[in-house]
Amino acid sequence: MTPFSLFLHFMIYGFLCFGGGYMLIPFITSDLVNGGYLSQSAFANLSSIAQITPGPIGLNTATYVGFLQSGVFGSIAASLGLVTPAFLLVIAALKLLKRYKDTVWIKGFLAGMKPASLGFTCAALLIFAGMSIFTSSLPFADWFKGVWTSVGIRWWALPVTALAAVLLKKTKIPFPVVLLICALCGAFLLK
Amino acid sequence: MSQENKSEVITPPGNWQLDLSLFLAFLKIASVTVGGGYAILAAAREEFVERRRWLSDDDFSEMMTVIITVPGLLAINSAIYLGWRLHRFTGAFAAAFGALLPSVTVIMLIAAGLSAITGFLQSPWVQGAFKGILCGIIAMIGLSAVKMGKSNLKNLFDWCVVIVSIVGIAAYHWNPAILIVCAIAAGILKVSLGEGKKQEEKQ
Repeated sequence: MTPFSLFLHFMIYGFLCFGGGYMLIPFITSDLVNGGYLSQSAFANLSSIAQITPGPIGLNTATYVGFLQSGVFGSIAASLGLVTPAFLLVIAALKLLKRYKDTVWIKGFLAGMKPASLGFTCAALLIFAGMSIFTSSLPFADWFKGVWTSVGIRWWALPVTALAAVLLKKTKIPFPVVLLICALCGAFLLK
Repeated sequence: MSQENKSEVITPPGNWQLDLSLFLAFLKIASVTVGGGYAILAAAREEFVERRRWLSDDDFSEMMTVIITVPGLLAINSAIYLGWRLHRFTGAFAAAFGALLPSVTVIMLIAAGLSAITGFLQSPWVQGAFKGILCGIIAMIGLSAVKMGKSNLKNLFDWCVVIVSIVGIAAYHWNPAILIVCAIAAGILKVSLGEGKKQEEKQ
């Protein structure tokens, strides 16, 4: 694919990934893998790389696929394609919100989405806990069925989390420094 | 946006230095966080609400509703939203560029076949460090969830929406898009029923 067609492909994904970057994965498998642009093994490789690197999984995918297709320009074209819709949509949403803020629609939207965004944040907290404090994701679905499935705990993660919370809340230490301290603790205690 | 919150908020001067600090702030946030979207949001809250005071708690909650609803990556959406609010187009470009740069660079190096980087990232030390950073991020998300809870949990309706979305996502892996649509529909229904009641009382 040329950088231009990469840009267009990823721009379409950008319009469609409703609900965050993870929603990109089905599009990528059906479109790029089945279309022969990305091999099954490269896709598996990509998923594992996305888990061990910082940054949004959707963006990592765009950069990686873009590079495999046409080098540095491909990477840049695919990433820009992915974020272009966000510019249009976020700015349009801000304007709509301001203009119609006294209508039932916007009041209702805020009434529903404020608690939902808190819920999503708490869910993210549990998912991250499954990747660090616990040795696997928490099997709530089993627990609700009344089936007791046990989960391993990395005991050292608990004091590290508590230390981070105290440093963030009680001291003026900037958060990158707090995260660096956590990284050092993790490298020695959680490897 | 209540009055007492507004008085605490600092309005930064709208010049090129604002673009530069937006770029650097998002570059910093995107380089030190692991885990994507919600991790970056908690870091952005720490940076823009707690430290710089450029946004109030209410502004941040409103931002969350918009960037979760609009299609796209949370990290990029939040950069565009904050950048646009603080300094229109140039702010949005600067913030989004800062958020993009770290992961695009790292992935390009990996894709370029620098297997040394992949090996380095897979080493137990680095994996341990990532787990440690995740612990810090859990603390950061936890603190922001407590703050959000104080302003967002006002009645039974709010509690129901929060619990349904936590259980739906964390336990049953529902598609977040479906939850978003349901939450908006429930909110509109609640507000229109509430407005109807108010009008009846007036009559």
